[in-house]
Amino acid sequence: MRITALTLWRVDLPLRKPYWLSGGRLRFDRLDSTVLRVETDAGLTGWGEGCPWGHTYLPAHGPGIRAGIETMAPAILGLDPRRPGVVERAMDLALPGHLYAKAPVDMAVLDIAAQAAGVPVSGLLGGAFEGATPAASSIATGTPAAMLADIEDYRARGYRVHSAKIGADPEADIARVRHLEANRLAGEEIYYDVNRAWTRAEAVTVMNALADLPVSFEQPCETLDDCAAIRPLTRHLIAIDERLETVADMLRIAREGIAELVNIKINRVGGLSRAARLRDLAIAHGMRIAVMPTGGTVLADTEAAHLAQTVSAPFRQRIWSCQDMIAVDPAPGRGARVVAGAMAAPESPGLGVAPDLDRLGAPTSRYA
Amino acid sequence: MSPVSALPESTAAVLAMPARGAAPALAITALSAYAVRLTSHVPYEMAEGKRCEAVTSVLLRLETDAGLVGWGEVCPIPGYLPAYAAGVAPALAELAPHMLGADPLGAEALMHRLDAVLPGHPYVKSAIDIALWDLTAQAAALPLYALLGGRHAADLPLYHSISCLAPERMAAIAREAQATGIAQFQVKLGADADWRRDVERIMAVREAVGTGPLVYADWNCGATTLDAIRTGRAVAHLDVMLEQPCKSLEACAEVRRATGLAMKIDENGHDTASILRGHALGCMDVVAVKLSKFGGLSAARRARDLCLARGIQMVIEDVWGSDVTTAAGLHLAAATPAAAVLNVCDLSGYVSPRLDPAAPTRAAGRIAPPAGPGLGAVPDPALLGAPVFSA
Repeated sequence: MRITALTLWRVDLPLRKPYWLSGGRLRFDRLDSTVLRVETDAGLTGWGEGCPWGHTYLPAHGPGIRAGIETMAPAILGLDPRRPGVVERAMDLALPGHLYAKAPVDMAVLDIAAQAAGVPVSGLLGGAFEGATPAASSIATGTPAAMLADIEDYRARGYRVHSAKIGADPEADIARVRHLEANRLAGEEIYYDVNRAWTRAEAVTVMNALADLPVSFEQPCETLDDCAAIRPLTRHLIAIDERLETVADMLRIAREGIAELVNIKINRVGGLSRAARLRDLAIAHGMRIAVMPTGGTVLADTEAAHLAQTVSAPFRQRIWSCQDMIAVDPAPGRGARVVAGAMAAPESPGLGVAPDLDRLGAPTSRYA
Repeated sequence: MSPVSALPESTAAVLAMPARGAAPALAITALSAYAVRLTSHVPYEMAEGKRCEAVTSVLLRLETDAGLVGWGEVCPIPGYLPAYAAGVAPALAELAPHMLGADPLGAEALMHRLDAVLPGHPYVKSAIDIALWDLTAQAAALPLYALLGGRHAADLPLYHSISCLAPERMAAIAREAQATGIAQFQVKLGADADWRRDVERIMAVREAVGTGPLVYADWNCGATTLDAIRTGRAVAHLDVMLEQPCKSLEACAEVRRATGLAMKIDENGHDTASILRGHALGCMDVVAVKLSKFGGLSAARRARDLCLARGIQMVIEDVWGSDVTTAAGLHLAAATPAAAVLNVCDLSGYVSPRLDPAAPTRAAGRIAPPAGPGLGAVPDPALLGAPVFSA
């Protein structure tokens, strides 16, 4: 089987509510997603999606995905999609780095490989464990009361796991955490996500001021060096998100004991194949795993659901999906959906969801 | 001739403006990017099939309301680093709205804002940052090196990079370069994945140039630790340095320990954090401060200062390119204490066409930065063609 064509669509995803990055960084009200269709001479087609969380969050932007795939296309065309490792190596030789541009290709290739094998994508990643994954809300930074009101909204829709964004002023952050913890229901979990916003001093100040509470903090500071430096100064659990990109990062986190939890965002780490390696290393070192898209439609959400499904219960922490935050849906009602606060991966062969072509509009480019 | 005596009228106009005020003294009014194909005089073979023969360089032109024009350049080698020519225009499209109308002076304040708009992408930022420094130095009516620390040296030693070919061919190239005054030789390894052949290459060049000149052997990340250690131990009795044998700093440190040979780091040294780490691991006797790895002169200058503080010697240059980025590297190198500069590179001497035939060229194995205000390298418009991006 050979890859015969790559088609790209630039899909504009308006957000239901404008989003401010933690730490007062830029506001944005839409996401730039790239949907990829890979065609083969065997008639099978696979779908991929890459959608950075705006262009200010990480070194990734929508036009960069499309330019990267254009540069890699000659190296991808003609390869056998049932050999995802061969495609990965070809991409790495054609364009070092740029993991976020490679992720949609890996996703579409695994979609085809899984269809050819007659198994869901999760079946190529180790196989699905039982049960749906708890779905997390995303609670934007605000006053303690406004954040609690947001949580109550999500509760009403069945969510029992929340990711509350903090990371502004230390005193305000302390007040936010205290208010939300005081109003947390039994059986409910709240993860406090700082998105790199604190200096080392701010992190130590806030975390130690909350030493009496059993809470965790995600990506408290900018770098792994920063997080490693504060690790011995606090007793709270730490999660690493943005600064986990490669196997080398994961090894460092694991060996130096920088974090107890990791957040694997599939687009950031370069696709499902690479994400599965990080999953294995996390489990080997006893770390719990959150799995997420960086953004996107139900296509990217479903990709994340497949990986989450392959994580056994003690290590499977949560999934976040973008579907509730965007105002368009290229595959209405299909793919992995949040149902009663949890998400399960489709069991049909391949990714298990394909977009409606008429909802994508005209392709942006095609390489054949 | 004093550079200041030849002040262009537009520069004088800028100097007459108030230094501070509500409106910037200088504002960017337009930017254009041009893609130029640069062909190597000798195709350049590296480990793992990496090859540099004809590559695209992107030239960036910034116009200002005072008539000053600044130039930047970035030229990624395909497959070498996470950078590619086709990635420049999409990133410029994100950044252009934040550059138009902005004050270019000083470079770093605007670069800081651009880092918030689009994190990462240091190779794109490099072209922008070089052009901002060009404008700043023109506005100050000073050669760029004067703003980067002042001139330490009249001219700088060059190295000559020898493509990975047959050992006797590499020895001949080394002798030819030596006859022109070159005293530092980089020996590319690994193109045929045969470590014994690499040993022959190192020994052939070492013998060809006699005792004294510096010889260092570069794998460009392409070796396993095993092959690098076998190669290094086979030449450990010789006066040679090793460069970036493996893909990670940790693996390079293993090779450094096992061979006892000094080591230069290139690909793994790309920001201040990686320099600190390489130094801590003890594998960074020398680091390649290539402008586009770091994000331009501003970031490379910060790395330069860190290297000075830690006693790390530097090769100051860029990944590839022509006269604009060559000039930028020479200004930074000239503004760095001479003992800390191992060598520099006249990239524009390796490729054709020459974009600015008046820009510096090598003489007796050395080269000097351009004189006159600003960067001092202006591409010939006839060689640039139509812009690939403009705003």
